Amino acid sequence: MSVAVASQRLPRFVALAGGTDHKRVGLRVMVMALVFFLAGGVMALVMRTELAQPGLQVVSRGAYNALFTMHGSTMIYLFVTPAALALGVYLVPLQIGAAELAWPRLALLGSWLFLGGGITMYMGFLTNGGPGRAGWTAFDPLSDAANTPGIGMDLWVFGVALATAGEILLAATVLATLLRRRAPGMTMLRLPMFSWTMVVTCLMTVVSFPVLIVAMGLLWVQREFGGVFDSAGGPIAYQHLFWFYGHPVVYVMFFPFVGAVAEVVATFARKRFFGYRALVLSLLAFTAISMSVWAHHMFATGQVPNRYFALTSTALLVPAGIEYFDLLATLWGGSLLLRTPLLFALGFIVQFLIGGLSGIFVASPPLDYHVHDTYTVVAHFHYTLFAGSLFGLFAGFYYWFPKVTGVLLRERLGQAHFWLMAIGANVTFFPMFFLGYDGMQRRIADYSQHPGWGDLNLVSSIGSGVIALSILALLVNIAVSLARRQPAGDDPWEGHTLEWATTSPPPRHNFTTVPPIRSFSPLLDLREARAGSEAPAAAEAT
Amino acid sequence: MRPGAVVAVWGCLLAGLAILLATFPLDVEAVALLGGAAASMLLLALLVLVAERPPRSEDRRAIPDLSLATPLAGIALCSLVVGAEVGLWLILIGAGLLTLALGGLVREGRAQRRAGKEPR
Repeated sequence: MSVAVASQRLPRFVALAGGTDHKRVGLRVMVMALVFFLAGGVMALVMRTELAQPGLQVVSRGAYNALFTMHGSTMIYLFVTPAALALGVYLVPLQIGAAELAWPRLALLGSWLFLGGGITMYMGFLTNGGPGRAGWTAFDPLSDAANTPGIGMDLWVFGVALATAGEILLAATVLATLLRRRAPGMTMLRLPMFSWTMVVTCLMTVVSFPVLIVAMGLLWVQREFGGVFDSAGGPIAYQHLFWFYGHPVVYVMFFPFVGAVAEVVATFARKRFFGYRALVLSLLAFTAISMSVWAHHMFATGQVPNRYFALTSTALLVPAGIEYFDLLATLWGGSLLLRTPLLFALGFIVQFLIGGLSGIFVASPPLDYHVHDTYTVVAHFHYTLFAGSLFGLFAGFYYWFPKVTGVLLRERLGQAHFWLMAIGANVTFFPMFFLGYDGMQRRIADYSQHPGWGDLNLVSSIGSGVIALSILALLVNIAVSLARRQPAGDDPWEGHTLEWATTSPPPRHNFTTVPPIRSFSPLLDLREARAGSEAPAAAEAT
Repeated sequence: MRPGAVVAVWGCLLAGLAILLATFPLDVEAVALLGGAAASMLLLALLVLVAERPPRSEDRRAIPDLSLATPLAGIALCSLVVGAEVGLWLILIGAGLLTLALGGLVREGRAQRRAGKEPR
């Protein structure tokens, strides 16, 4: 198969708006997602300042409701999910030896819908009543026109629907590329680990995200005309629709980073990844089971078969255990190169374990009744999404930054970023387990003078400041590295997968020639073959 | 392993979980959601299996470098959706932009097909 190309130099603005190169689209979505991350982070800092001491009133209660709604919405709809998909848009064609995505225009449209959705959601800040303030879940009847009046909430509904539609398009193009555009020799069982995680991520996205668009459409009709969720089972029906998206999205925000961590671990342990086939099978099982756990968020309603959802939620331990075992076995006996990407990967492995283990407790209905809607749940999901996924994202960020830009990030600043973030994340989120167990509710702007709550909240708020410092270290690192460029070369880490066989940054159509593909680590194969042929020659020379 | 088989295996796993869910005290909405997801995945698997064929050396594709009609379509869709709240005027602007964008996409598609057929 060959590719006809009519490349031309495009004016910068035109190329930025309408360029269909998957690298350009992926990079644009990633940059937009990181901008939204900064906005969501600022909101978190304001919230933590508000909660630092009981009785403190930095913002009004209404503003606090808007802040936690927009913080959660930003991080889930506009940051982690699109960042995960952006990694796939950028890297999947490079990893499978393709020249382009399967449907480049659809990916471009997805990036615009995502941006349009984000802007629409944030336009709520310009309205009289402020933005949406019914939580990132917008449960009915809290989110109906009587309880949350105002155009800001409607804009939130539209923004979520548009951003989600964009994410579906991005996932569909990545999935079609993985299924139809692989280079000769790149069979499904030779896909790199990151690409496999994108297969399952995109399957989950295309099957669960449309349900959220339906839920948002119905919510808007409910707000405008009523009659949709008014019946006795209406609020439960909304929760079913929402969580059928809302739990799989947790894994959409997780698996791509497992893939990134797997690549980092194998590369920096100087070893072939251990248990590739077991990983592939566990990914398929893990994602299928994770599609059927959504109603564990609804245990407290008493309206769902709790035993089934407790069973499936606990069953997730088995494939998760296989993945952890594979990662640890790859590290075991490797000659570890302890650079920033590996530090973040190790941070991911350790901290996600805390998030995962605390998930077992809330998968049990009696324990969930005790901590439902408390800070224990906030701690649990921040350990999975922030202390877990975000560390995985940064492992991938530091690993692939030289490929994307052609320059190396500064190692010392990277390590400062890691340590500050690791300390900040644990100081912020660990006290929340105790607060929640002791009964402190989430989504409140103020709390009583309960013994110990003030101190634990103060510690948590100080931790959030340390996280802000870590992000500052990252921004300085990016600025310094791009201003005083240290060329990275094509393959600074001795990577195992095809993206390291092309230039940094890659050319428009990625490859001039694709190396032979005989396994999921084609460059490692080449290196080993070269070493094998050089050894007898060296022996002959001596 | 064929790509369609991957999707089929995943769809079968979902179907198995949906059947298991149906054996518990009946929650129609939950079974419908999971069963619907399984059915849609099995349908997708079928489509992928039917469309599968190995690439041939004479296959040639033209790849677009630029598509200004696509961002226009994105802006148009956002205008149409937000127009439902803001007013008819924005819906009309969105509809006009969408018409322009669709025309542009048809034009781009034709040019792409021509480029693919040009002799090497």
